[in-house]
Amino acid sequence: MTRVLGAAACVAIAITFAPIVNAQRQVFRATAAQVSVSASVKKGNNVVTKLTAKDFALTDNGVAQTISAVSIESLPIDVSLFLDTSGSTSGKLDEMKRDTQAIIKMLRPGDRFRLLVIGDSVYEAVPWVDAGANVTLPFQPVGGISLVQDALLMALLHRIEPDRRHLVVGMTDRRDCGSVVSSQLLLELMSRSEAVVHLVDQEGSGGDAKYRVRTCTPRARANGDEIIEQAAERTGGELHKGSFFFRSRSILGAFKQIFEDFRQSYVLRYSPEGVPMPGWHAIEVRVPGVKDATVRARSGYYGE
Amino acid sequence: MGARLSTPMRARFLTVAVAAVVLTCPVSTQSVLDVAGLLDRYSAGKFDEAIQPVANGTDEQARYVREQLMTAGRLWIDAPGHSKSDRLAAAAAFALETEALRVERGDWVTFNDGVCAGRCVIEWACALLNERNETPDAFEHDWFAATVTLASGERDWAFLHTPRLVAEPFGESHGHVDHALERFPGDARFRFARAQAVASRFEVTTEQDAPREGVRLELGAAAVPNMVINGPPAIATTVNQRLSTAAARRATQRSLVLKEFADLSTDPVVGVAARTRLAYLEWAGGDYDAALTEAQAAAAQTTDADERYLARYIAGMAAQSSGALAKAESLFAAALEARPRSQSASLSLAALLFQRGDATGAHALSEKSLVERKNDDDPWRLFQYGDYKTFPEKRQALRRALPTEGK
Repeated sequence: MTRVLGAAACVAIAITFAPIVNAQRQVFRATAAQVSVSASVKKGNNVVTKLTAKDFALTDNGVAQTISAVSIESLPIDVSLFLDTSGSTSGKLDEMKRDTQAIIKMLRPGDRFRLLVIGDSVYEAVPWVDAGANVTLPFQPVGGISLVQDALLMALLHRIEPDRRHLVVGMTDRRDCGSVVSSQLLLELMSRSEAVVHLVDQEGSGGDAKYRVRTCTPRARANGDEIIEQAAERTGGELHKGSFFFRSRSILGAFKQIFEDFRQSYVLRYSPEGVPMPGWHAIEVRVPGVKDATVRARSGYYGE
Repeated sequence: MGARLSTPMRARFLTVAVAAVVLTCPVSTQSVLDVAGLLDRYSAGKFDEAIQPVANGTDEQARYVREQLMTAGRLWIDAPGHSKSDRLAAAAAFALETEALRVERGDWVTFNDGVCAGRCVIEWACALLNERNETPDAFEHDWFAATVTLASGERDWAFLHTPRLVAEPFGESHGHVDHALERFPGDARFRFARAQAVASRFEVTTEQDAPREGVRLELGAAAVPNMVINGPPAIATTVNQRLSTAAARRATQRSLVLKEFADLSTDPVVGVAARTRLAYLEWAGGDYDAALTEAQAAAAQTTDADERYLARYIAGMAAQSSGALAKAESLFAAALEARPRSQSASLSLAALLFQRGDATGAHALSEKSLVERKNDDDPWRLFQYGDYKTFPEKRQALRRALPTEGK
């Protein structure tokens, strides 16, 4: 197969297959490469539905592209939930466990779920399970070390099958401590990911600690939390903050909103034309016919 | 070494200090643990039986043990008909074990304003060992080794070692590891712990930019900041003078720590750890080439999987920071040969693979680490906690060396 986009191009590449009938079995050969882009369209707080390919305008490095297909709600979703169980948020542990159980029940048949948490390393508290599965949540709070960036990278490194979508939801205060992946590198790598990343701001009251770090080394950037926010936006996700009075969002409430929006988001497919493939491709998606529409889509992808 | 209070004075001061802390949270009489009874069991070699009630007790009960040690514990030590030396040793070891439990509960320092709790108990116990007036023996060495490890795990570097002058980090000083060195002059383990305490107070580097092939990454603005030690301010009249004085201090401090680690790097016990810390400090100071050389030498100097992993991982970091990304990849891979699927090297390597387009390889590394290395104490993740992961072994060694009553 000729790979127009490298594996790390990392937008969902939906390959259009042309079946060629062999004597005994079908052989599939790729005839074109496509770029898939998740796009959420809202007007105010309401999702705009019933849009078709004609309603969208998409440019790839400034060159208008022809959208070949638009789908909605049809693809099953792999949900990676990341809970920041570090000292800064671990006071909410019981709520986290309760809400996680509810989230698994909320998924549709065909969807899958995985939970990552922070300890002295990043842990897979719940391996990939099907929607509705009963799980035990044995994780404990760990103070000091706070591997937010590493956890986000591990979540988005998950490779999805072509007929699925990947949603990463991180419940975190974004205060990193001790990650091996810097915020700048994370920002770059998120641009190459197939996942859509949403972050939910969490403030905690601390908790018991096995290891307690007073000084992070290497020290996180002063604006590291802003860089992580930018990284999420690059994937087409965003940071969800609480209100003035209640800064922390309810985990379950925030997830519900994110998941519903994601389910109702559009998947736009196009074959890049008129742009050289290597390098960064900036994508812009608009819905010209809907006044005041807010479109969230990944900011681009790397092509090879 | 540094000027210190006499032992009786120190013991009285510490008793008052600890009592002041614990008296702020009185407990009901029903919930008070019988410290004398616990010490009886401990000194008879029934260690777990003595420690379990404290481990299973409430925070309130455990904190009250601190005060009881100074009162009921003291009476237990002085009771006639027993070896006072043995009882002093048992009380010191018991205090260490109960404080280790407090560390695990995040109770080393009770209040945010820095009132000492764990520190005071350990120093009180240290005074008990002085009171034994014994020739330094294996028990005392093991006790100091365990307490230094415990404080390193808490990252309480100021407790371990605070020089009187910032420009002389290995000069006149006070701190727990200095007490150890008074008793065991020149001991390599304690010299290493002291150097680590000095280095850990300024080995802070702001995380770097995304790596690029051939691009040498700059240090963050906070790289190798001044040591945080109370002392006389630099005598300078202009901003520039102050800045240059601070920079000179930093350079002096750094060079002295580097020298101490270098001196220890051939020691048979701490040599590899010293060379590895030396490499890390070189990296944190932006001398990536020196860091790479030292880290690779450290890796070649050991057959221990954890030590080799750590040294190779730091070598990989140095190569990455210097823009030699292919070399960094091979060094991270070499680290994983020493300790397969460990997370920090897996993730660092995965990030580089992902950056250059190998999403499949990156995914495989990340998944294997998550699935096949569960509940792992990755040496790099614990690097900033000294050798705290060895505390259980040190506690066992201490128990074996304790001169228990009835032995």
